[in-house]
Parts: sequence; C-alpha cells; structure tokens
Amino acid sequence: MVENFSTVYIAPCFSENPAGFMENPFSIRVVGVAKRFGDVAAVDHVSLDIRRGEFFSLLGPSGCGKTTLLRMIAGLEEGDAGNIIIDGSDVTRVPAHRRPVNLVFQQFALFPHLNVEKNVAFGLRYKSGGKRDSHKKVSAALDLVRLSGLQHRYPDELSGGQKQRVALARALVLEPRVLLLDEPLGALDQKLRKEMQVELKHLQRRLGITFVFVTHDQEEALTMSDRIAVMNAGKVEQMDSAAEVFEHPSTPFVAEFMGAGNFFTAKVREVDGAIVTVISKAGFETALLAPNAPNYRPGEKVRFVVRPEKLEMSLTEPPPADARARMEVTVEERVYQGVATVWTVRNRAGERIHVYQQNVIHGAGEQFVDMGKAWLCWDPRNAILMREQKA
Amino acid sequence: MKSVGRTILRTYSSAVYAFLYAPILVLVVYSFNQSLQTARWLGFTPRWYAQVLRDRELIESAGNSLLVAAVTTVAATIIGTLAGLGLSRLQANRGSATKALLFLPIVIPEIVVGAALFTFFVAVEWELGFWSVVVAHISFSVSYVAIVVRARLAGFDRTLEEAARDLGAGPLGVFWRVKFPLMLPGIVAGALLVFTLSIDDYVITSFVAGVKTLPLHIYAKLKVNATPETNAISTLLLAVTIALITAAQWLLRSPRGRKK
Repeated sequence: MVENFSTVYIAPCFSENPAGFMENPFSIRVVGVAKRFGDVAAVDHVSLDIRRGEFFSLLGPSGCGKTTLLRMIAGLEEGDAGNIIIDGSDVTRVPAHRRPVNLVFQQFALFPHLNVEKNVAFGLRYKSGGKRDSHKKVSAALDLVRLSGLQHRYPDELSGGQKQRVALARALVLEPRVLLLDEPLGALDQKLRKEMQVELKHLQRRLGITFVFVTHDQEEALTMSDRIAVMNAGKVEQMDSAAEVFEHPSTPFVAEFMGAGNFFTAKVREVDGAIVTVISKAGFETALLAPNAPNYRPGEKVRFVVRPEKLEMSLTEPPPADARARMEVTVEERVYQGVATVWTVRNRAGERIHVYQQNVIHGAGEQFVDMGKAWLCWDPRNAILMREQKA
Repeated sequence: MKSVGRTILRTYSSAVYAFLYAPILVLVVYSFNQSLQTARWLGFTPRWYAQVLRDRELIESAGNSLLVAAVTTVAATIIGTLAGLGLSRLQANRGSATKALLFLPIVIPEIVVGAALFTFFVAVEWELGFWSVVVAHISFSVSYVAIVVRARLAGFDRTLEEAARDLGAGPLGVFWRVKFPLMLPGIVAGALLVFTLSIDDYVITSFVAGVKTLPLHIYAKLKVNATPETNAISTLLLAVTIALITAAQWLLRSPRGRKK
C-alpha cells in the first residue's frame, strides 16, 4: 500500500507534467505582495521565489506577517497589491478552492462531525478523478503519516499528534503541488515536536513536494529548512540557506533573532577590498571580512556580531602570535545549563556579551570568578559586519 | 462536614425536582381516577381516555393544532435560521437595532401581541381563520429560532470554513458539508421550541383564531366543568411532547453513539 502511494505521489512532480513545466524552476513566486489591516502593513511589498521541491520556511516573531503571507498564497486572504504565481500561472485572482496548494492549519481544523476517514476524504470529491478509489487513497494517505487503523475515530477521540497526522493526510491525499504549513507543530509538546520535525522533513524528501513552513522557532526552521526567509514587520529581512542565515545574518534583526546577540559598536578605519578594519568602541582594532560588502567608507559607524558559541574565554591574554581577535572583559554572571555554561561578561565599553561554553570536562570554567577579569578571543572570520541601520 | 453538605444539597435538589414534577405526576395519576370529583381517588379506570377518543370536537381541534404547529414550525424554522445566520455574520458592535427588533417579540407581553395582531388582521381585512393563526404563530416564533441558531453559530470555528475552502469546496460545499451539519442541532432545537410554543399557545391564538385549536377547546371545556377528561387530554399531550423530544434527541445523538 505504501509503495503504491509513493509511486502515485512522488512521480507527478517530476515526470507526468505538461511540457515546459520543468523549465520553470519555481514553485511559487511572490511578486510585490502587500496587505494592510487598518493602519498596519501586515505584508509590506514582499517578493520571494520558492524553488520546486524545496523545504522553505517563513521565520519571524509573531505579527511579522508570515502567516498572512502564507494565507495569501493559499488564497484565504486577499492582497492589496502584487501577484502570486504558482507553477507559472498567476493565481492572484483565483479563489482558495481552485488553487493547487493545500494548507495545514495551526489548530488542525479537523471537521468535528466527520470521522478520520471522512475528514481525509473531504477534498477528494472536488478533485477530478478524486472519487475513484477514494477509500484506497485515504488509507494510503493514512499509511503515509503512520496513522492506519484509526479511520473510524472522531477528532475529539484523537491526541494532538494524531490530529496533526490527520490534518497532514487530509492535505496530502489531494497531491498538492505545494503544501503550506502554518506553525503545525505549535500545539504539540516538546518531545512530539522534535519527532514530527524529523518526520515532516523525511516526508517532504520522499514526496518531493514543495513545503512552505511558517514558524517563529529559529531552531525548528534551521532543523528542517533548505532555505529560510526571515521576516520582520511585514518585510523579508534575509532569504538564504539555513546555514547562511545562521552563520551570516545580514541585518541586526536577523542576527538577534538567530540567537547571535553579541553586538559591538565600531567605526571603520580602513577599507581594503573585502577586508574592513574597524576600531571598536571598547578600544581594540580588528580586521573583518565583508565579502558582499555594500561599500563601507572610512569613518562610518558600523556594528559587528559574534555568536556566543564562537567566543572563547581564558584567564590570561592569548600570546601575540595568536592571530585571533581579543578583548578584555569582566565576568558578571554564570548560568550552568548542564551541557554548557552561559557566561555574561562586560567589556570596557560597557557592552554586554554572552559566551557559550561547552562543558567538555568536569569543573570547566571554575577558574573564573565573579567580577574577575578574563579575555575573550575569536576567529575574525566569525565576526559579521553590518551597518548601523538596515540598508 | 462534607457529608452534611452533601445531604443538604441532595435534599434541596430533591425538593426542586419535586416542585417541578409533582403537579405533573398528580395530573397523570388522576387522569386514571374513577371519581368525577378530581380531588378524590376512587380507583383505576381508563375510561376518560376512551371518552377523549370519542370526543369529535376535541379530535378536530387537536388536528387543527397539529396542522398549525406543523406549518408554523417549518416556516418559522426556515425564516429564523436564515435570520440567525445573517446575524452571526454581523460584527459584535454592528446591527444592534436589527438584533433588538428581532428579539423584542420575546419580551412583549403576549396579550399585547395578540391584540396587535387582531387589530392588524382587521385593518387589512384578512379573514380570521386557519391562516391567520399560522401567521400569528410564525410571527412570535421566528425570534426563538433566530436566537438559538445564532447562539449555536457563536461557537463556530471559522477556520473550519477556511479548511473546507482550502480542500476545494466552493461556497455551497462549505455550507452544506461543514456549516449546516454543525448548526443542525441548533436548528432542531429551535424547531422543537417552535412546535411546543405553537401547540400550547392560548392567549395570542384566542385573539386571531378562526379555527378551534386544542388549547382553546380545553379552556372552553374547563369553564363548563373540570372533568378527569381534561387530565387525560393533558397526559396525552405530555406523552406526545416527550415522544417528540426523544425522537429529536435520537436524531441528534452524537455520531459516535451509532457505533457503541
């Protein structure tokens, strides 16, 4: 049964498509889309391209517009401006029920008066040829989400995880070209969340369908996504691969949101190609690599970020032969977290810095005393340069 | 301490139930009483029921009542359901006048409604008969259905509609496959309410009746003399009502009940 399902479901994306289909590498193109709610610009002229077969995440804090954008792709929300193109055809004016995408709702939105089988079969009658073998299709979809044997249960007889799987099966049975997921793991407990993250990722790989996943959890986005668009106040701040967004945030907001809270104020002293030398407010000089640097000028005020886990703390200053950047700090607080200890320290400019240190050996970090001096050093390649204001 | 509280609670609730149901129980018991004086028990007899069934006038008036109630229920349920649907779409702070006008008939004294309807029918020269009763009954029933349906829809999760649209259902599909099944218990409850209100209405009906309904007949009979026969009629009416409500409960039983 599972085998049948995979052949039916994996194939269409790559083989049974009309001529010219493959030439278009984009599943979804969002072009200048805007939506206002009263005075608030929920989505502020956003453009993005989502590639076929990728796991794409819209990441951001609540109210950043990610869910509104997803609902606009689904057709549940009408935009004020812009176009939405799915598989090369403009669907901006196409109502939700005629779009080749399906949405998995945050609270699952299972029909309470229908059992699992009828919930999953709900959309089949609207699909051409969908009613044929609908029983088979439903059980194949339930197999796929590993939920066989519960066909006759009602939603209020299911656990959160089971409801989640029914919601997934109900969408997947329709073989959508794109599956939209609106914080689908938000209602689950921590352990189940982790399991479902892995399972969703596997499912996406197996089916080869484009997934557009909305979440406010950066770790979740990193775990699952091929690419991530980080949103803030209705705009896309950065759109890149998961690793790139994490390692090279392009704006202060993204850096902060991805957990790199260590900002250092500095002034540009010299620009030599991609190498920018800055003087930090704390008084030290460091050369930074800014490969796609948008023309920094000497004298310009800038900021650079170093992630907490890229910092190393020692009691004495590293020898001059050590090429790493360094600064002297005062230890203020330690938080023991089991696998790691998180230190809060302060430099001479009064900037607060977090240091994440893995507890490799028992008693690691005991040499540091509260309010005592210490040295931080880091590889300059791990420092990310950015403008004071977002460009 | 706990058991004292429990005893008090139990006694109190028994008293409340006794207060509610003792008169009805007495009525049922006395409908089988041999005595003509309704207050004394002389022995069991089913003869009042036999007498009821032989009372032509009574059977006819019961028929009228059932017909009026049936027509009223259908019409008022449809109108009231549509009204409730419409009201549920209004935002909370909008249409307060519309809502007030719709719900007013419930609190206006029946005697006023009856007098008003009578004046109205006379003014427009509508002959008092079967249809004048039906129209009067519909006019005071619609509000009840609207309220019940609207209350039912107040707890309706809009994302279910969105989910249905997302799965391919057009506006009609969304209504008939999602919204209607979920509001059906409210509609049936409203319909039951209307049926009960219509079949036992006396005050308003007495103003506009061109046909004799059961309550009018019973009241007229009581005025002449109270016999156990009226007890028997009332008991029958009670049985019909209980049967109706049971049937509705059975129709609306949760789908899970069917399996278990």
